[in-house]
Amino acid sequence: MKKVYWKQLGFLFPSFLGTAAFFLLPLFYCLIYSVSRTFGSFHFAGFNNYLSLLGSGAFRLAFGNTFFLMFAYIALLLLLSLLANYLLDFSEGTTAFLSALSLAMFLPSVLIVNFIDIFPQLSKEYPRMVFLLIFLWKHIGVNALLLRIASSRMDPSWREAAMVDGAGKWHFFQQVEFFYLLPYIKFLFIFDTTCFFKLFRESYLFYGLYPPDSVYMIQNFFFNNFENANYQRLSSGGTIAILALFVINLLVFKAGERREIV
Amino acid sequence: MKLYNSSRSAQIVLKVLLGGFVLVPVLSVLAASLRSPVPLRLDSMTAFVERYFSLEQYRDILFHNLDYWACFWNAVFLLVPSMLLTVIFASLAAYGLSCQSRSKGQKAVVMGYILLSLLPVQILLVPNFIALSSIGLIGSRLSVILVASFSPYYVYFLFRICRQLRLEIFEAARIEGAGELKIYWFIAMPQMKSGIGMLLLIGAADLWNMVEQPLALLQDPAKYPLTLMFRSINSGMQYAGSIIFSLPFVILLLCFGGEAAKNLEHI
Repeated sequence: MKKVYWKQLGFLFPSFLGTAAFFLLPLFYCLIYSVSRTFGSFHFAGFNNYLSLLGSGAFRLAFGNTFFLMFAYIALLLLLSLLANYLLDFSEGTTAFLSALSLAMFLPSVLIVNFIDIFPQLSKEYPRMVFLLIFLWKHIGVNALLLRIASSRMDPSWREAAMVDGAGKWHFFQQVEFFYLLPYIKFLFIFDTTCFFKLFRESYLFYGLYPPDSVYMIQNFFFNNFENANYQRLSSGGTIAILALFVINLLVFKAGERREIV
Repeated sequence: MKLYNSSRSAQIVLKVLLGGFVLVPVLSVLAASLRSPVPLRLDSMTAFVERYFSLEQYRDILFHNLDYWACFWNAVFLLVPSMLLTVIFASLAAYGLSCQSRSKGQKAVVMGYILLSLLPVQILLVPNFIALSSIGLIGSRLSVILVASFSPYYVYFLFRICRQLRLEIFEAARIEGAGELKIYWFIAMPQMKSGIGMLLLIGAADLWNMVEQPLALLQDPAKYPLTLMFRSINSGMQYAGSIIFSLPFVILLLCFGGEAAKNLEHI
């Protein structure tokens, strides 16, 4: 049995208390109220809340849109960052260049929203395109940079050996580099999911709480229910969203795990 | 030995394309912010200059718009206490956690923080909302500050930095008779300095930009921070408004951006 430093453990207490009060316990309540008939006291209602939620068109639209757009946007973002990493040379200059690009992530949403507003019909007619552009603009730098850092950590002798053996750049990428990068790509996928949900900010700046149907997402659904304080719906909707995200993250973690890296 | 390098010109074209994609929006907003909101006839050179290089938008937003300043201070009042509390809580927790010998308990707690930080803030807002409404804090600024300052991700972020510190130094200080608070403040904190700087940059960029927490938890337009005000800002000065809004960050990034970019791999 290893020694526990009790005095030092006390330092964890304030953070733990807050996390428990605002995150852990409420998550538990969320789960409880999602199967309760009333809010405030518990009356088991089976899965009625879930059934009524799944019957509601707004929820299905929001859920479908969120996960469809999430996969589509992140896949495109990762493809483009992989492409940039593949095409750019290995040099100090490239890393510095990508670092500069990645700072776009820190710029406020109002900037890019106002840029799109210079062409007013864009956000009215092509909301999905606009969101994709914003998502790429914000995150391509950081994604490409992190891939580049990972790539440059790879043992250079592998590349040399491949070249001596006559493997082309693409062949080397496809057989070796991609599998070396795979764990980093998985990490980026999970990082990008948390970024994807931040698109609500731009969505609010463009359309307020009621965006067009093609970009009506789960956050909008939650906000409409915050307004009318519909706790049952919030609880069951939150539970479903959290479970779905956990399942996706778990699958991503497990994906391709059996394949030997190199 | 050069490895698989392509031609120089292809590299330059690629970098111009990528860089342009990121830079063009910023520059166009800057250009739009200098345009005069009043349409003038372009019959002479001076009229042209007045139309495209005027500071009228900046004047309007800075001196003729009281809402702008009210919301600016709202944003500051939300940001500063949240950041301070985040740094205090997260660094305390990181120190406390990293002092433990590598054990299953430590792993489990860290795993808990990681799992929580994998969930998007927007989804966690649902449990946050339920908790805050049950203690009646909805509508006060404290609600936003509390939720922001217990953000689980930052605990994990600082823990990873603290984990690299050498426990023997702490042990040596303990033998010399230093109290735990003293060790935390005088030995652990100075070594976490660059990590805390990075945390402040990431956290402040996020909080300056936040929409969903104030919108859900404050429910009072008088307390809304600046980003939310851009919904109702009348056209003509929005471009200057967004430039001024981004300015504190652009300055921060110019000062610390290089340092931050170097540390980005740790996010």
